Amino acid sequence: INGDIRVHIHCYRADEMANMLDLAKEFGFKIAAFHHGVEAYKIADRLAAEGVCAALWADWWGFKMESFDGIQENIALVDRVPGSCAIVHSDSEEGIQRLNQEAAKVIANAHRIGIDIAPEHAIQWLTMNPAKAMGILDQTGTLEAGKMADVVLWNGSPFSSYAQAEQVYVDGARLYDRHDPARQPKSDFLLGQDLMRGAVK
Amino acid sequence: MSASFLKHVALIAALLPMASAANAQDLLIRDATVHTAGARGTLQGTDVLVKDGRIVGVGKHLTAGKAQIIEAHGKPLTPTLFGGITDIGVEEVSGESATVDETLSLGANAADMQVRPEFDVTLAYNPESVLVPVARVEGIGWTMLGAGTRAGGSIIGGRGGVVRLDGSLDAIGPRALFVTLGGDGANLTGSSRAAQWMLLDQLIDEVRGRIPADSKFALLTPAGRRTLATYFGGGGRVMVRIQRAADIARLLRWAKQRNVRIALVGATEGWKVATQIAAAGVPVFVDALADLPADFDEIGATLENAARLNAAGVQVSFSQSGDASHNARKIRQLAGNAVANGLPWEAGLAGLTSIPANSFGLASQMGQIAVGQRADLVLWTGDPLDVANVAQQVWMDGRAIPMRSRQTELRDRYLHPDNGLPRTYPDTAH
Repeated sequence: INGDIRVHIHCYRADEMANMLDLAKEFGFKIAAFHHGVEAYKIADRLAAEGVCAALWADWWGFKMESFDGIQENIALVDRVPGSCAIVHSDSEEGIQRLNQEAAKVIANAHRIGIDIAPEHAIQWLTMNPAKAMGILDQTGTLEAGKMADVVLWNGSPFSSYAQAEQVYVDGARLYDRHDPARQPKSDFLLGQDLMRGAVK
Repeated sequence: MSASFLKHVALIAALLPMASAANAQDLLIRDATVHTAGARGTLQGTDVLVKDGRIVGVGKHLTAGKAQIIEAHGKPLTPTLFGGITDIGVEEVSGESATVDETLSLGANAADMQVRPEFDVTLAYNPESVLVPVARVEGIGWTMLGAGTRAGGSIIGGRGGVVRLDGSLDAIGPRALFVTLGGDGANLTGSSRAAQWMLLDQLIDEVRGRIPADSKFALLTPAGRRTLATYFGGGGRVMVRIQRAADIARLLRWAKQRNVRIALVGATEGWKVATQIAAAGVPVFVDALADLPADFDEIGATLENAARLNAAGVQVSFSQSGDASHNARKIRQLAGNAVANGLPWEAGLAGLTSIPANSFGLASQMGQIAVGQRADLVLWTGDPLDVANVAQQVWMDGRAIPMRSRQTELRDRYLHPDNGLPRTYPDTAH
């Protein structure tokens, strides 16, 4: 309530997000972001007006009643309102590896209904907007002098099934390199589990 | 003859001349990049002629006759895609158990295991499911409904079958038997996967009469015995969910010895035994995005699984391990990522079309753009294996399907500002 800790709320339905926004107003706290927000497209104007970010799926729906109204244009409809803060999320150990492809799906479905989103804008869903929601935009989330050197070099447009990260830098250190085995970390867990590979008869 | 009968004959006779005009199942798709998914490969600047819902011509400068002409402007045309092994039409909302029909669990725990291979999940199929249009507008034309396995059931999940997403009530083609082996099934076989082989041999003994029907060891109903006799005698496909390399090696040996026609589902570690799988002619349905060591059966998980299997000569298709039904459309993202990791593009497309059709005995009617096949077609905005592109128009039996789903309806309702009334009221402005 004092604003010392950011408020992120797990919420699916538009009516329940609206209720939380009313509650925030009544008790004087700020909601930084709604997570999942399957029905965010139904209150996109209000989310932008109140400066609330929304971490959403590109295409998940139908796994429970709260997610029954999911649509593939959710992120695009939230994003198109000026002042909005749309974030692409996954809630999945598989999806999180390819948020760039999740974003590609959003762009493709938006294009289908005449909403053309430039790649330099879409990339904000994966970088600037989540940094803003987490209150660390002054440190990371954009390629600007003075910020941490957290950078990815891609093999081409990141918005494609064929996109691959070539090099990944964190704080300027090259921590992953697709073409340099010396920069391909292997966890303690997987170490030594393949010693019988090729030796089975 | 009665007067009303003659009236009906006259009415039909009057309608016949209209039937010879433009038939909704006749069309000429002109100047497409035709991905045949067959021996002819990809054909540039090619036409596809459809008559009475079947493909009658694939070539250059075909004559339309009375057929409706669709100008493709070089865009890719493919057969409708296989949606994977799913519960489309058998599960409406995953968390609402009343809408979920894909798994039989008659017993409470492994001691009460009920083995019912005669269970047929396709009898729960609802062609009016909201999941059907959601999949269809993305180019998915058909899916294999799978029978599941969980506590109270059996590693023999029961039978499934192929449904076409054209509104048909019934499944087509032969039923497949679904079995789960390895770590995923061990909790149903007394906590040990070794017991799965013991159980399978016990079932074979019962089918062959070596365990009498009234024996305390008998597990099957008469219908179950008849069903297993078919599958354990080389008739019908047995779809086996299995991940670990050693388990796959044992399964291949067992299937050869017992004359069982199998396919592998999952096969996360299939690449380690790719040569054996290829030698056995066993098709594999991989989750091409399963790249994490999710459990000890999947230590060898890699994005290169599909590519390595294909390189060894395995017939590779795809199926998602999670959220396979509501997000069936994601299956082309699986294929695209497999291609990004070394699978040839044509093999990626074949894995979504001709390979699964062939695996399920439907190759004579589906899975390719070729003369004689059903005109189940998709025109894409670009490379269909890249999520940057989408389906522009889908045809089933030569009929254009409405590119609408519950999701597009919701989208369109909220696309424009409301007209002053709540959006639940009709918006006549748009």
